[in-house]
Amino acid sequence: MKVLIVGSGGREHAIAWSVAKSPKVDKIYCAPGNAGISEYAECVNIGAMEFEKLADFAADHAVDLTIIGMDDPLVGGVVDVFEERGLKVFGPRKNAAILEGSKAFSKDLMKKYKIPTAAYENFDDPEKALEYLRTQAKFPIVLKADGLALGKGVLICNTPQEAEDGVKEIMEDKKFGNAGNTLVIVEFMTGREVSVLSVVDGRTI
Amino acid sequence: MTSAQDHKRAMDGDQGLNTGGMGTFSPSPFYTKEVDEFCQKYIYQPTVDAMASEGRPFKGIIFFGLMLTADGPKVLEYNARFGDPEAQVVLPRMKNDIIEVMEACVNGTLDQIDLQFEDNAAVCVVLASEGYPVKYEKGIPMYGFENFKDKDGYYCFHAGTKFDENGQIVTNGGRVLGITATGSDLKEARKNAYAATEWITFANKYMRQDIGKAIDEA
Repeated sequence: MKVLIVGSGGREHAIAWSVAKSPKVDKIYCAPGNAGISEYAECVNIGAMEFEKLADFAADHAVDLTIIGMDDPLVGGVVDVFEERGLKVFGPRKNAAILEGSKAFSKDLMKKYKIPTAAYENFDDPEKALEYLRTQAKFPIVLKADGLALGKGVLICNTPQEAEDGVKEIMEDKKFGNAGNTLVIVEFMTGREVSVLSVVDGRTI
Repeated sequence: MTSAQDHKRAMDGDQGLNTGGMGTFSPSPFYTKEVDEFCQKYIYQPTVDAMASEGRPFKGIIFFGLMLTADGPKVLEYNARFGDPEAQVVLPRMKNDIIEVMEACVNGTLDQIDLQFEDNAAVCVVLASEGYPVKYEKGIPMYGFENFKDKDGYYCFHAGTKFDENGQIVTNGGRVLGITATGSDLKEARKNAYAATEWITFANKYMRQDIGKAIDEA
């Protein structure tokens, strides 16, 4: 079968290496790819956010499965574009990728379904965020831009002044662009961080 | 399912600016059976069920960012895809055919797949351009890739690299390569990974020297 991998980082190189081991696969494409990935895959000069071009390529080259490695195209709805055209694709649809795409959404989900997480408040209005910080916050406190920010949209603030500067940076100066339209203020927790990989098919994990 | 632990800050001792990740290891010695049982019950399946109940069935990878607090494990964030560099330590440990797993996800037949990982460990050290994540030079020639040929358990995953007009591999970003090695345990994997970082040379090569330091505290 033919496989298309979308992305250009070390993650996609690791995915390409893993896909190349599968006896089912006889051709791998990667868009846009990089120098290392070209050892296993034919790199195609299409950007990860060019959804229609990616789908055109998959259709024209009879690609059997497309694998989306990156967060931006998933949150932007690349899977929906592929599915509308009847193309097989691995990754969540836009309405599910919001689990990563909006921290306000994921916090609300955890609250509603009682999944353990830190206490938080969401704010669309910087004045209300500042008011909350002045009257109710305990320090240190964590400010998170709602949207995707290359893993960098999180500020740990030790003092009220740092938190005020943080609100300005995220919501007014838009340091992380539209990711900062909504701000999530989160209780500071201490402990070891661990990440856990899981594969999900809609029901089974 | 398997665990990993990353190193976000640019400099040793978790100092400096946040980056996309400077290294990682898998599995995490702090992810105990007890923690796993708690998360199975209160976090993993409840998250999948919650998304389905909301009319947003999730198909793909969920990478759970957890914090192990005094009050038990809590969710820091969800990722809707493989972490990077975490994919670079998790995938070399996966026993299954990745295509079979992904097709089962798409088809909704994951209950027929037994996802398995090797009973070993992997460590990834990121080689970056000096100055990352602020300011750094690109287009620097890199050497030594042939050292990874035919060596089992050693991997050189490319991130910011490209071929220049002469076909020479040059740097093309802040995070340049992920050097991964496996080992029978975390200490051996770390020793192997750091040995392999020496096989690659480029003028502005930078890496953290303390990836996996937490292993000694376990």
